[in-house]
Amino acid sequence: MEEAQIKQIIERQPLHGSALLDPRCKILLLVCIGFVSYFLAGEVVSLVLMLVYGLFIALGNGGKWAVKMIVTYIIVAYLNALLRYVQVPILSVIMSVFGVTVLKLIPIMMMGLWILRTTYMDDLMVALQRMRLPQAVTIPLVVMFRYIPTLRIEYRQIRSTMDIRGISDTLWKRVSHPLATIEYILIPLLMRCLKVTDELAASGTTRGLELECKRYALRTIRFAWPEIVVSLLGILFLAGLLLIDQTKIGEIILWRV
Amino acid sequence: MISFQNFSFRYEESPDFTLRGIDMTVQTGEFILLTGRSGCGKTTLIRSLNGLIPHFYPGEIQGDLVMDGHSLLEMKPSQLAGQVGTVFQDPRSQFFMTDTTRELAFGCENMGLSREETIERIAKAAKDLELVDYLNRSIFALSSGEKQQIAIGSVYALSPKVYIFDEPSANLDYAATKRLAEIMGKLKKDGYTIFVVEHRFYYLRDLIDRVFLIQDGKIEREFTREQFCTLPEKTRISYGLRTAYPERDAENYHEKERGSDGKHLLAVQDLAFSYKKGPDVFQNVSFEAHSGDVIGILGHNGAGKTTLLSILTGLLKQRQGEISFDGKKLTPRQRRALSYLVMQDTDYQLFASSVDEELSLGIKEDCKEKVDATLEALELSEYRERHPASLSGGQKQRVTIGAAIVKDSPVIYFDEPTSGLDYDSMVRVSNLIEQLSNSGVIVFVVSHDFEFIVRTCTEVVQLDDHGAIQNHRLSPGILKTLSEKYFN
Amino acid sequence: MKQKLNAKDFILIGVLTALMWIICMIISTIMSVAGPVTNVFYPSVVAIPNGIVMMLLLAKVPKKGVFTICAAIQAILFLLVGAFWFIPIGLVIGGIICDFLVMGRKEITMKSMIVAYALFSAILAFSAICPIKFLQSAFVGAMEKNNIAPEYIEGMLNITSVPMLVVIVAAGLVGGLIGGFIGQKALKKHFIKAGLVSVK
Repeated sequence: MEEAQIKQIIERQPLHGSALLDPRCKILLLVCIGFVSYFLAGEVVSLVLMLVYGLFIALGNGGKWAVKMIVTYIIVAYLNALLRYVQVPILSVIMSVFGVTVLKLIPIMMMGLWILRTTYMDDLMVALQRMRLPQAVTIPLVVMFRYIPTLRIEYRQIRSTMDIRGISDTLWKRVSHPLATIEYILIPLLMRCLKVTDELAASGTTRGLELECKRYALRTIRFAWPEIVVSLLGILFLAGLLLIDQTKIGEIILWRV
Repeated sequence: MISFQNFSFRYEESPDFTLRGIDMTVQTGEFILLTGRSGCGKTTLIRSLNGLIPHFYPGEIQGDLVMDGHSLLEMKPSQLAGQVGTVFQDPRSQFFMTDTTRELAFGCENMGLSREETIERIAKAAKDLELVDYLNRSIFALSSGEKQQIAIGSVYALSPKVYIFDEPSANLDYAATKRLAEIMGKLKKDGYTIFVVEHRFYYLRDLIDRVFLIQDGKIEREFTREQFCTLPEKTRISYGLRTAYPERDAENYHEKERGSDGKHLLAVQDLAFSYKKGPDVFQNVSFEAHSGDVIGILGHNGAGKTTLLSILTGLLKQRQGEISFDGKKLTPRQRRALSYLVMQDTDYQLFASSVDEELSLGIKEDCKEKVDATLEALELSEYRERHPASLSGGQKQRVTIGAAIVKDSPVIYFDEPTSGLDYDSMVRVSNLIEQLSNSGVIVFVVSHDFEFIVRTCTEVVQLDDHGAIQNHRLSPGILKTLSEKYFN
Repeated sequence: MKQKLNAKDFILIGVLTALMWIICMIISTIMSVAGPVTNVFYPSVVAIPNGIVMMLLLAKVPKKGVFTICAAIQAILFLLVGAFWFIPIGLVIGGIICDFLVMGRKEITMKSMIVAYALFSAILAFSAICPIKFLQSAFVGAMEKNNIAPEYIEGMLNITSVPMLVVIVAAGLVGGLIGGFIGQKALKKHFIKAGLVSVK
């Protein structure tokens, strides 16, 4: 294959629409939602927040995810409303507190996990570097995202050995000796972590990880017009929601069974 | 040109020098093999080449190390990044990004190259090393061999003049090793200087220009390719070296006697397995194993060897078929009680804070005498109080084998027991397995190591692409077909 | 303590924080499913296994900044999964305080490690429970809507105000102490014995 063709493959873009925005823009929106979501009391405005951001995500490779989260949101909201028929004093108090918290959490989670899925690690490193964050933040963060999937594999390996050797292999042993179980799982895992760290560090430093040059990602990362427009619109929209929330619309009760 | 000038090094935490008075000059474009027993200092030697010594592993240096007229000792590993490229042993712990294309670009991005330049370089790497098929994929979905190729590609994109490979074949199957040799051949043809540290070097035999044998931190001998490949067997073994021609072992193979009287019988019938909703990993797997058999499970990566092991040891439940022991059908739970699995990575298998305790862990009854006897037999008595993590790789492996002996498992499984082992340790494992089989244990070995299989196994079971399995008594005929598959 | 953090330290922080994060996620999920009451106590339970990890991290990298970096990265992850913004802020502030507490001295000791870790865990518990205070009006609204008697709502407000807060923060502190203690035992039993780390 010719190099020109290969370059095309490299630059081929599985992401489109809002997923292509600069990671800084996505993070800014996330922080704003995180701030606003907890202060919105009205049910209508909360749903609007959910729907508008669901649409925003659906425009960038997140259609299925947005639908899933919106459906979850509606189900939780209805369950919350159902609580009025359950008159167990303490339980219903606690359940309503819990339900309200979960409802506030869902829009942020929807946005956060979407960002994780649609952001390349090198884009993130570049964006964080442009935000003047030091290597002390960028390196651990990137290592973390790469290591979390590996952890699951390593955990399974350890559990296999424990099962074969009869170490904390039954539920009873785990419940009766929780600390020993934690020790048997954590110690080999930590030993492995130390080893992986050594190897990763050796491999990273010999490929120039410690150099603090200005980085360029495979995609051009720039906080340009689209980002500015989207950020401004996002902020205006959220501010507007906060205002509307103070009016009559904020008092409309939406979830009633 | 690279020259070590009376170079010595001592690690900060160690009282003795690991390298002592190394004098070695390597011309540009040479292909150098560094070999010797585990712990001889060959890894330390290449660490000084890529700058990890002294900046990453601090210590005391004497002498000098010069590349093209400049001393390397003052240069940090990151400054050397564009000049010396290193590919490490374990492909799983060498990547930072989560997708292949960005991993190829990782080094270039660290160097602050422009976007166009980076794309230019990784396109060239993908073309030259034939990595196009791997582009834009998740790293987690790649096999060890594929990860290794991406790691080489990522170094290649930095366009270094010198390549260092640290036991690159330790985690690869024979097909991936062959591919590795092709890539190395290409690098050599393009005039790069290449250093390889390796125990199992058969795949390099046509590439080597010179070989340095390291012993106790010194260069014991230097060979040309011809000298090295024609070393008399006795001399070779006295240096603790593996063979350069494993296929010759097949020609001199004598069929082994069945170890014991066959008091136990493990029968596998019509086994099939698939992950949820997925296609069958394998089907129609049937074979028998008697006490004293040492059965090699062979097959390329992805043929389902690990899955088969997981089912046999009771970690997974088969979709279909049955496994019986002495005529009694076994549930997964019963299989777990009967078997023991010695994994390739010993890290996952050691839980206790002393060797002593490790051996008796998970055993209910009093087993002190047995532990003592096992420690004696495995030559681990002097380490009984030590923490398993402080032992060497070979010793850790013996501790896990010891736990199997104490558990009294009638069936023991080994997954790649010789990866990264030198000749002496390989022979030791082989002898241990023979002792186990003589005592009536059924032993299964998953391995790509031809020399080891020939030396150790009495039967082979082959998993092929269609998932079917063949069970053969190891014979010169079988070995011939195997060796053709491995080496041609 | 003058040594600066290098790339290897950053990688170790990343690897071990990944582990602590996963432990935190698993435990908090289990405890949320188990019930809303247990949910608020998750920081103190999480602190126990994570104590082992954190003690290893501090022993392996006894340099200034470890706490802060570790906290900052967890804060970013908390942001991504939808935590109330108070948790990330609390984490970072807690990290900085602990860094000065432990690393302000000349040498890191077992004692200063455990004190700092307990404090850190208490701050985390505090920031995890604080949203309840902030969200009080929302809760009251929801409860009124659900026809809950005003007396109960009043009672709820009383509980969430001061006593509950004190209990939860104290639980965080205790969890941190237990975690740190177990962590140091594990440290001595395994990592120091194996010669992988050394602590005064």
